[in-house]
Amino acid sequence: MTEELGDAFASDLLRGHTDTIVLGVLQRRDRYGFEIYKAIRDAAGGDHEIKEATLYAAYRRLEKDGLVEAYWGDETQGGRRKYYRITDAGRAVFRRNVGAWRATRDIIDTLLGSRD
Amino acid sequence: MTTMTANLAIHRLLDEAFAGVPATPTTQDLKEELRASLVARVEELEAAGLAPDEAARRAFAQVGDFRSFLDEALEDLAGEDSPVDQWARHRVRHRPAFVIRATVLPIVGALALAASIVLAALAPQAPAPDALSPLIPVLLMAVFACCIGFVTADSLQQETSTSYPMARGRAIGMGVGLGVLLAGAGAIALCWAPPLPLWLWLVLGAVGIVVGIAVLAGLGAGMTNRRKPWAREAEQAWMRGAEQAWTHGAEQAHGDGAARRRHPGDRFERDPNAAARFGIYTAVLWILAITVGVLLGVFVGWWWAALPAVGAVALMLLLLTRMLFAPERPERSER
Repeated sequence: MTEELGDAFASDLLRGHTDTIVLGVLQRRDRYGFEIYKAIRDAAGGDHEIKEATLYAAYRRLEKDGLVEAYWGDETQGGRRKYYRITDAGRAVFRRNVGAWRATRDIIDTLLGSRD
Repeated sequence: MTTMTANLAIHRLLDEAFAGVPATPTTQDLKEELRASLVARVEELEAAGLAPDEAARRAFAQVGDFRSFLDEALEDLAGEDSPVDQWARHRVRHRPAFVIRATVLPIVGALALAASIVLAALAPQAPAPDALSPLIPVLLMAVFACCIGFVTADSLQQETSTSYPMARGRAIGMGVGLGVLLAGAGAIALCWAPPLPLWLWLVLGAVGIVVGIAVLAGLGAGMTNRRKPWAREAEQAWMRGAEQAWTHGAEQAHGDGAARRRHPGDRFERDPNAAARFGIYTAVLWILAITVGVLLGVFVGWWWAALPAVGAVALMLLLLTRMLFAPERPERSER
């Protein structure tokens, strides 16, 4: 029961930072939707995942806000892949969100007495 | 690679899921994007030993409920408050240290440029008392290029009310590119002065200009959005309003045909071919101006070499005015 609650807590936390996580995954190179999903799933060690539908909503939001740009790949077989590229605005927002996350994490660690 | 059966299953499931959804560019984009993702996912599942039909069904289920955000994407979300209110709320004030740098450095640069040209011009009349003097105009020109390059890189890294800062590497690259370009132009301006022979000044100048332009063009081509979400929304709302106003006004003035033809924005935005023509005319103009300048310098005197450049600037501005703000002629059928 406690483990299930912990999982739900971790999944909620992950979902709450979907946009920043996607920006983080795009920091190194452009990726298409399923690649981003796999990168997050692999990084979470398979224990937690963000549903792809949630990610598509995040891509739309990030694109609308100009934090990522999308372009179609030139695949000739299978579906054409829509790649996402992080913009300068996206990098700035990512850096800001990471800073805010670190500050919040420190406060929570202090409040919960879990600081090393 | 996915099997034909799996591809057909994906196709069928997607058609079922999008049944009744209006076929707009947004929904078609989403459908294609989902298809690519499902194909990749089915490949994984088939590799794990699942039958094609089962792999397609499971892949579809794993994606989750995308209908909710599909509906969301179709909704037209109107802005909540006016751009003026939004600007006031998002206003970013520059840091005093940056304002001081951005004010002082261009002044220092301009003074260094003026001093460099004056000292270089006086050099033939007053021979250098020591070996260091001929280098002073060169150093002053370098100071000018460094000041402008630094201010450029510094400014691009500042957050403004409407834009995020440019990534550090790109901003520094832009500053270096502009600095090298100006240093190249400076070398050509100093071409009659010691300590280098004329041809070496010209070669160094040309190399600097070409390298500077190449760096700026390369970085410019890879430029991405820096505008903040609120500024983009305000811009789009303004464009929509302007387009409606244009359409409405044009409908009243010229009827439907003219309304479709007229769009907001300058001529280069509406007609990229005109922008390309302007670029080619400008390149030809400058090639001619530089050639005539060098010929004048060699055969008449270097004081005359700048004359074609002045003419070229004037002609370029006239060309720009003529091409960018040219009145649009009504079509014959509408007369």
